[in-house]
Amino acid sequence: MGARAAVTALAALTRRAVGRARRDDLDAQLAEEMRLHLELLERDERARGLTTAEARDAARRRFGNVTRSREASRDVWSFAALESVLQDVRFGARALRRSPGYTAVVLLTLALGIGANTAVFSVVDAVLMRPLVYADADRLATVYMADSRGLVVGTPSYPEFHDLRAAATMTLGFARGAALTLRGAEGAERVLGAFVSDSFLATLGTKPALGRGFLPAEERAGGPAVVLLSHGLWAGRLGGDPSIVGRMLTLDDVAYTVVGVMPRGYLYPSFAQFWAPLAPRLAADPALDKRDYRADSRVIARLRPGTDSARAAAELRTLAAGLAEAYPATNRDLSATIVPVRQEVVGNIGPSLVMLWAAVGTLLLIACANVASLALVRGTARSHEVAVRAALGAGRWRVVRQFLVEHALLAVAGGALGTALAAAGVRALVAADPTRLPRLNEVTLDGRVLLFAAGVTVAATLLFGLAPALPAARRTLADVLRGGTRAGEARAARRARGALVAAEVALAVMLVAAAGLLARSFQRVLGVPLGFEPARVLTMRVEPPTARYASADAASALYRRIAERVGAIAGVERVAFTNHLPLTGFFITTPVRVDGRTPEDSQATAAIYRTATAGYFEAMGIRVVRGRGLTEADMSPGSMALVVNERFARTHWPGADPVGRRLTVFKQQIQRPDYGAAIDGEVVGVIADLRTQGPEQAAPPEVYVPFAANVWPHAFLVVRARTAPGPLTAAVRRAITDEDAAIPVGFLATGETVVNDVLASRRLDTGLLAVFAGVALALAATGIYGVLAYAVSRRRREIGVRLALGASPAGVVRLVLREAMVVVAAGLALGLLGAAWSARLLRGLLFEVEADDPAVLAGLVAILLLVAALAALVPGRRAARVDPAIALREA
Amino acid sequence: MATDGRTEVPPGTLDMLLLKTLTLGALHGYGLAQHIQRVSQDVLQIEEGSLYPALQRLQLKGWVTSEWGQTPTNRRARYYRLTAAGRRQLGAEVASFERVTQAIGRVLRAV
Repeated sequence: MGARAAVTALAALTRRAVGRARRDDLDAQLAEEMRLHLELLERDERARGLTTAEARDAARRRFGNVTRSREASRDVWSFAALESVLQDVRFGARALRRSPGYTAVVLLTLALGIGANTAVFSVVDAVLMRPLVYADADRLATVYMADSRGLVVGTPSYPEFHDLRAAATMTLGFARGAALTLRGAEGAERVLGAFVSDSFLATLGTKPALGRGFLPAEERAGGPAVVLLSHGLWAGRLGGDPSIVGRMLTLDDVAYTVVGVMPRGYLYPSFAQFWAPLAPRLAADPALDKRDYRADSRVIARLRPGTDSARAAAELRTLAAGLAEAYPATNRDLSATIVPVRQEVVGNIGPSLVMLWAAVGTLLLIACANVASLALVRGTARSHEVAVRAALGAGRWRVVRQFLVEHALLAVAGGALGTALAAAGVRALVAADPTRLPRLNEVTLDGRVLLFAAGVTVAATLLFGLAPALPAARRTLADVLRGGTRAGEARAARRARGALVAAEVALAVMLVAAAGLLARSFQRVLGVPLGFEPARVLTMRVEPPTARYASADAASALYRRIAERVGAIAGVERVAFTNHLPLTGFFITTPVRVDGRTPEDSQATAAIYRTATAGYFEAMGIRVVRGRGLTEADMSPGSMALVVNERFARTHWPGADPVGRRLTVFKQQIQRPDYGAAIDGEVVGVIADLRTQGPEQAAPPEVYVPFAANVWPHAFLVVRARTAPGPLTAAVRRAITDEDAAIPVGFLATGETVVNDVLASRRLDTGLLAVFAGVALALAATGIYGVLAYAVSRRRREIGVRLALGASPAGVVRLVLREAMVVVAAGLALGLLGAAWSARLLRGLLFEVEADDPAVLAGLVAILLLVAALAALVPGRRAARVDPAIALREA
Repeated sequence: MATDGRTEVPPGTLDMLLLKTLTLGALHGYGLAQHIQRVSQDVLQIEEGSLYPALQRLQLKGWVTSEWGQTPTNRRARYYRLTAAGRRQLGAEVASFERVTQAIGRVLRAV
């Protein structure tokens, strides 16, 4: 029965559509029909004995109203409801065209508001909301080795991974990080990737987008060399070739067969561009044997269904305790902990993004309030037209609908424009990638984002459309034709506008407060002394191919030669080498023995292990606070000189002079045969604390070992320039290639760039919020201006009377401004309350700034008063310039 | 021409009367009006113009079709014809009407 009814309805719809299309034709035919009918009726009447004229009248009387019949017949063949709405649309479009200024302002305001919200939502959606590409990603976590406080000291070593895997209930996989040279047509490039255990891919679970995973035969020692590529490497460097599976790639002069490509967003470890089986590498890699080599690796865990992270962490702690008992030499006091993968991927970008979203939403609310205010005024101006329509029989709903349709047109156009703006903005953001946002490569304007945009558009329409429409419909014909609106009506409209503007001001105050707090935090961060002077520093990582510079002596000699060449360049003040550079995220720790004993406090048992050539501290501008730095003499074998930082000295020798104290550290370069050998040294100097992990993190304890004692295969070259470091880049690179053309160079940056990269995320947040706050203030200013201008024009006569009676222009201006000041004061008060409440949400993002920072509050009030004063300028002047004679004559 | 004694067609029944009349064959608008008036013995008086919107509605619902033809006096006129669906609809409407009429009759007789 249901199908039958549907077919019938469809048939009727088709007939109606056809009839509608042929309506004029049918109309003409109907006219002919009716003509015949009338003739026949006339003939009848004549047969009854009437004259021709009487017969015609009688016939017409019998027929009835011809026009009404024709119109009723015509109306059958139409889509009444639809056509009525279309009529509203046409009418609305015409009305909008007639006021281009209003249309342009509203369109732009809405486009900016909706566009900004859509853009931010697309980022929030991709980074925070969309599920990770790994199967059942909420059960994935990374395992770390930790100290007794639970602080991470490193990632599990391969032997530890084996032991954990054997005993744990969760599935574990191991990845060994590697940097290999990819040789291709366009030259050599270093790519980062991972060699993974046989359980690794299964633990992550995601199937490759192209090709397949590894076969068991490939994950054995002696197996064929195969590799899986990341989406980024495939799409970028290899051109997205669909027939990549089966081709060969040369990595570090070994030919690998590509067996598959992983989907977009599959990035575990986060730096991996390729994955290859670990088993064939086991023999060649000495690190994989060492139980205490806890770097350059990742262990991924998949929790069993039903277990949560707390239980898994407890299990790992138990297992780690077991290892500590079994291997006291390497695992004493070591525990294990897990970090959910989602937390690692998204990092602490969450609060930042949510704050941006809230800010942009607030901006949209302000924009809607502004537009509603404009619409309210416009509605008042069109009340005459509305009354006439009501008189002609339009129902109240029809009138309201007309306004809604007009606003909907504006909103749809604004929404479309805004979405286009958002698309362009997002594309620009992804291309620029100023902060290396996680998952930024997954940001697109897909269905969900478009749905959001549509939803925001609808909400905006209702917000600013309904407000003026309803009062407009209440007006009666009598009210309007009487001239002007009823007094109560006008007061209500004024109050509504005042409330809207007060709301705008309140929201703008909240945004400005947030922007101010962030700006102050950024200022404080900038003021943190980093411990070194980046201004004239140029740095790059020199990566000699291991084939030719395998031994420590060969590498050391190479570095010396490079240092000589670079030192000879004009404009170079100092040259030095170091194993890891601060602020780059590279570091390795060493156990320490102080004064011959291992420290009791378990947190003090390790320190950052740094090696440096003579002159490193001077090159970086690091201050030596006690004793001396490292000299050339310290580079000779048998030297015992060690340098520590203040934090280390405070921890181990509080209140005492560290110079001359004995200290033992252990060689940490895994590729040297003497890895783990003890260095029994003596502290010769103390340097000022360095913010190795960025200005917002306290300085960790550091020990500096002479570079020659533990030569790093790849080292950071540090150059201090006499003036600007940038221009020296080409010369320095040339010096390196002159020495050996086949030496790749990476991480090329000036000191400023390195520092800026660390600050990039905070700078972006602060900048964006400042922009939003600025726009909000501008919108609020136009709102205040609107209210004031209207007040002045409304009270012209009154102003004229007062001036004529002897009031001063200043007094008159004050009178008018008082009205606006009430609104601004109300908005300010509400806004300050709102800012106090929202500051709680900001707490995670603030740095050494309290929510009630007096400087920010004072600045806020000052800015608002300034903006209000500016907005009041023109209306105030206009009020003062009213000519009483003219004003009084206006009836 | 006497207009007293003539009653308006009860609302809602015009469609039914038109469909019934068309069971006799194809008719044009004038013919339909004349037939109803004659058969009802002049009791039912239709405003003849109101036939046409009704006929359009019947066509929309697919109960009636129309085509142009020639009158006996060689004039061009549009003839309306009942469709199968229209026949079915007529049956349904007549049944319903008779049910209602009987019920009303019972109520009136009871008092």
